[in-house]
Order: sequence, then structure tokens, then C-alpha cells
Amino acid sequence: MTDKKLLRKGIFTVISSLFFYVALPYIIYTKYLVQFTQLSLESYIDWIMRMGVIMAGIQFFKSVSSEKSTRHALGDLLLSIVYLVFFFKLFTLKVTVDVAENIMFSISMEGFIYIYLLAALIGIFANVIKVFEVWAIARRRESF
Amino acid sequence: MQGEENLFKEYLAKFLYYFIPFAERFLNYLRENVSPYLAEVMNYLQNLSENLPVNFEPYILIFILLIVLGVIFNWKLERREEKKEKKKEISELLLAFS
Repeated sequence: MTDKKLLRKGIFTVISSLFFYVALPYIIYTKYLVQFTQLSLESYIDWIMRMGVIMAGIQFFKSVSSEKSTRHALGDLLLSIVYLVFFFKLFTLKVTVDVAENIMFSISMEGFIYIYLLAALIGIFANVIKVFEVWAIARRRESF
Repeated sequence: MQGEENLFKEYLAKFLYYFIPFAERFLNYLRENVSPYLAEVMNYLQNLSENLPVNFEPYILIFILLIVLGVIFNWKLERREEKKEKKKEISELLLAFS
């Protein structure tokens, strides 16, 4: 039997995260950002939508399991890893801006990568420790 | 007020006198020992992000897989844990009554 309360929570989370990661960027892009023809933002929006689908799946996996369970901690770990890959991809992408004829700017945010990488690696390490901690607590509870 | 300001400046100067060499040494240590590993991670992430598929299908497949896994885990494990907690509560109550 399933835990319906958690399942309901998971469905709500997956719908909301699909809205925020996939539908909202698409709407913003097609309604407003398309007007700025000088900016090439398609790749940004595409990658946000692609990784957003995976993030929504992980959010569901995480929220469907009860708190203080190994699966919840594992979901956190997966989420932090996917966030790292996602931000790495976003920071390495380059936006080109056509200012005038034969003049083109290229904007990249590669400088942010090192700072984010350090922070994300520390976060992933903390999440790995959390998974083991939760697992050990669950084992101890089972042995009682 | 002037005295307090002077005191603050004095303390700041003392702090910086000890802190700057420490910060230099710490940054050098990071540059020598942590940066090579970070560069390796960067290379790995670079390869990964270059080889990520461009189509939407694999991502949707992973999404469906995660949802199926979530439902299976919920179905198999959550109810069992709830039962366990209830049993524990009942045993605790019995212990309290005895």
C-alpha cells in the first residue's frame, strides 16, 4: 500500500517544479525575450528546461519519501549533483549580442564557476555525510 | 569618540598584522593542494557538460524513471515504516502501563 499523503505531496511538488523549471521559462522566453532579437537566449532556455525535467523528477523522488529517511537524503544528494551540472552548463554557455552590423559581443559567466564549484562540492560532501548519518540512525532504530 | 576610533584602528592594525600572513599562507596552501583537484573536477565536468544529450527524450525518460522509482519506494517502504512506528508507540504505551 502506498502512503497517499506523501504521494499527494509528491504530485504537488512535481507539478509546481515542472511549472517553475519548464513552463515558466518557456512562457517568459516566448512572450517577452523573443522581442530582443539581438540576444541569443535559446540555448539558455533549452538547458533550463532540459535540466528542469530531471530536477522535477528528483523533487518527486525526494518528497514522496518521509523525512529522516535514507531516500529523502539520497534525493537531496542527487539534487545537489544535478544542480552542479546544471549551473556548470549555464555558466559555460555564451550569449551573443548583436549590437550593430559587424559588431558582436559575447558574454560568458565562466568567472562564477570556481566559486560555485567550491560551494557545490562542499554541499555535495555534506549531503553524502547526511545520507550515511540517516542510514546509520535507521539501522540503529531497526536493531532496537 | 576619537579615543574609541583610535582604539578600533589600533585593534584593526593588530588584527591585520597577524591575519594577512595567515591569509597568504592559507591561499598558497589552497593553490598548491586544492587547485589541482579542482582542475580535475573542472575537466570532468567540462567533458560531461559537452557530452550531455541535446534531445529532450533522455531527460523525459530519466524523469519517468525517477517517478516510477519514487512510487515503488513509497509503495514498498513507507507503509511498513508507519506500521513500525505504530508498533513502537504501542510497545512504549504497554511499557508505561506496566
